[in-house]
Amino acid sequence: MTLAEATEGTCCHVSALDASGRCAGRMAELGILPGTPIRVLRQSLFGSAMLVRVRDFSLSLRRDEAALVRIATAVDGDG
Amino acid sequence: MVDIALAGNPNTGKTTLFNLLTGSRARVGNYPGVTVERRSGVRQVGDQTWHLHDLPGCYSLLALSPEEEIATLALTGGWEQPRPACVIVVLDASSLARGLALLLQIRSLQLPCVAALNLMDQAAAQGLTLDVPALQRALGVPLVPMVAARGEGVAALEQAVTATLAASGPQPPLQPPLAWPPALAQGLAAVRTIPALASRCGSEGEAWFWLASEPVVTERLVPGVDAAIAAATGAGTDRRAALRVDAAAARFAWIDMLLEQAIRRGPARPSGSEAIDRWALHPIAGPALFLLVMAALFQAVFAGVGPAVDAIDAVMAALGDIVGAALPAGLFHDVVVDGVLAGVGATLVFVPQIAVLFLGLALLEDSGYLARAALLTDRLLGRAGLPGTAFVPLLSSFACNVPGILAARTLASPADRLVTILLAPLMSCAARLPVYALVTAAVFADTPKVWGVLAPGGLWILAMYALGLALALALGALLRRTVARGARSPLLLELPPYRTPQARDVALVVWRKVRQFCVETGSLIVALTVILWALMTFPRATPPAAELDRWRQQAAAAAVASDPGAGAAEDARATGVAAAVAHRADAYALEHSAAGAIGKAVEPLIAPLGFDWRIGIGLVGSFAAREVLIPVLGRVYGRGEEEADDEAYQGEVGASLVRVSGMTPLVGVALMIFFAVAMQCMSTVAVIRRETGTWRWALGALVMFNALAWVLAWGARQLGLALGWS
Repeated sequence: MTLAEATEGTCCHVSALDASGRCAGRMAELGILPGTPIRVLRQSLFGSAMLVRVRDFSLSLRRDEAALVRIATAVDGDG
Repeated sequence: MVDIALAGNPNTGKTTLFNLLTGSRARVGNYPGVTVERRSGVRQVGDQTWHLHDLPGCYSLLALSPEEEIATLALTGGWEQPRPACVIVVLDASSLARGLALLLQIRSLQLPCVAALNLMDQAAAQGLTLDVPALQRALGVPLVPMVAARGEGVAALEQAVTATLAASGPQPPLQPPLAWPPALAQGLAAVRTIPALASRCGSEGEAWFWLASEPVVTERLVPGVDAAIAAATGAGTDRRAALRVDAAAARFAWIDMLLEQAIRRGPARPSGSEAIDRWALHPIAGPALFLLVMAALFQAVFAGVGPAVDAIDAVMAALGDIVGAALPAGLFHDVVVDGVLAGVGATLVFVPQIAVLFLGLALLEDSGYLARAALLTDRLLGRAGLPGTAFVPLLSSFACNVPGILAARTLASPADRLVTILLAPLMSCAARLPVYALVTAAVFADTPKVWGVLAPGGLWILAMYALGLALALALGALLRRTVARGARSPLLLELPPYRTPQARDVALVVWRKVRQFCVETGSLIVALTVILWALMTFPRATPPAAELDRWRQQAAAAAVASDPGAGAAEDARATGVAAAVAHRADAYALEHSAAGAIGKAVEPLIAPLGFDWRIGIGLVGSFAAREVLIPVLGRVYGRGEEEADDEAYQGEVGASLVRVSGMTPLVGVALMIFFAVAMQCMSTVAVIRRETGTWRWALGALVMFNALAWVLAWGARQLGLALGWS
């Protein structure tokens, strides 16, 4: 499952980052890396954006950016 | 003179610290070889003079936008220039992780660093306790806790920087050392063997920069290097992108371990920001709040500045009188008073509006709301192919297109920058408003109110703004599909916690932007006003004596008719007659000048729009500054010359437009549409040339917008005529 599909309120962690994505490098440098906890604050904001809490700050990103992030929730171990 | 750079993530209070250290003595200059402003200031510390440079905020040295690139170039010396003697890396104590990642990047360039641990009050408010000595030991860099907004920690910072500048010897290593994965370590070693990079890979950080950067960046710096890197490392672009992620992972693993030990978190406190965002980002309340904020901003910009503008007009008038009296009559006198001073006045009269708009923007940014606004507009601007962050340049353009265009530097994608720059002129700037006001007062004053409340004139003005916005969206979409293809800038937008704006920082930002406007745009407006004055003065023409007599008789008769009382002073009446004759002689001279000839020459071109040669002269004048249309028209109609925003004068000019040039409501609308769309401001053309690097886009925009303005004005007139208007 990718971050783009996660529902509001989901607490999960990153299982993989698709490095071939255009902004993958910048997302990694913001701290979105395998093992990082992420909390989905808002989904489908104004149609196309979502808001997440990663490490110690709030980040808004578009669906196509979020689609680069594979996640795993605490319940199921594989993304 | 020691060069010290201030670097750090955005939203860390870096500029607050810079302002604190340098005060209003900061100057805006240019980076060598790059026409981008840099903020530099001076601070005297002991017997040293520190030359402080406030670098743009960045999340990584691998830059996403031209703004971020400035930070990278300044810290790496652009590979040609000397590097700063010390770097103050500003960190947000309440949000340390990615700030430390940047610190590690900068440190790995072997640059002497001091970390300013700012926003300690925010950290305390969130219940965080930091073990500063432990952090300092691990990072091998002095760490100075500060609250820049309150001025706390400056002395300690000075001490730390002085000690770092005096220190010699290698940098203390990280404790524990950073562990690169083997593939990455090999790649870094391979890059350092490349001959072309021999002088630029003195440190591991620099090797990382060349390995992890995208080919488009490295090729621009050293042509042909991409192939060399691929050969030396055996890794293609994809593999290197993966290595970039691995490097970030290694840094964050180290940081996570450190923060685990060095930060104690108190019980989780509810965040005020999240509560506010429940409304600010609510699907319905959010946009409503946004529109309210925008409405308040525009109301302040356009309605609230009256007294300030009046004051400036009064000062300029007085200055004109003083200088005019001081200089002997003649050519030089006219150039100075009617050319230079008029140009200065035309610039200064918009300073209140520009100042208020930048004040509003600074408050929005400092408070943290601007990021929410960018998030809100991301989808709408996406229709024009632009990211939500293009909202700031476009909004700034409503005061003046020039600073709006300059603000496009913050956008990551070159295609986005180009489109934003080309759409900025469609945002109706402050100079168009007097023209709209003139026209609507002249032709819509007597039209009955819509629904009994709404003045049609005001609605038409609103329509012009809406027209600009609608055209911008359509044109943006078109441009993005044709000449400006390329990926859209990513969103990846940090939403900082809401904070109270700092009065001093806001004031300084407004002061700097206003000063930049006056100096850069102002000098061009003055130059153009002088040229315009020359066009309107030469060749000189005096009316024949017979005409002068006729006018004198007409004026005398009019004076008697309007004030037949025997008690009216003969002197006053004679002065009035002389003034009227002088104005008409002036109109005659204007008609026979070069400007008049141009106006008559373009009349066939603008006649289909319902404009005559008099309006044509006015249009020629508006190329210096749009609002100059009004005093030029005033002279053409023999009303003399007053300030563009003088309401009584506007009324007279408007009346003449109707009576003499035959302006009907339909023609008035056509004129407004023309002003809304046409590119008349040479300052805008000049800044487009500067920002895009070639004349192609500037001249292309000039031709396109003027042609479009003509077509739309003509179309509107045809539509009106078909609907039975006149």
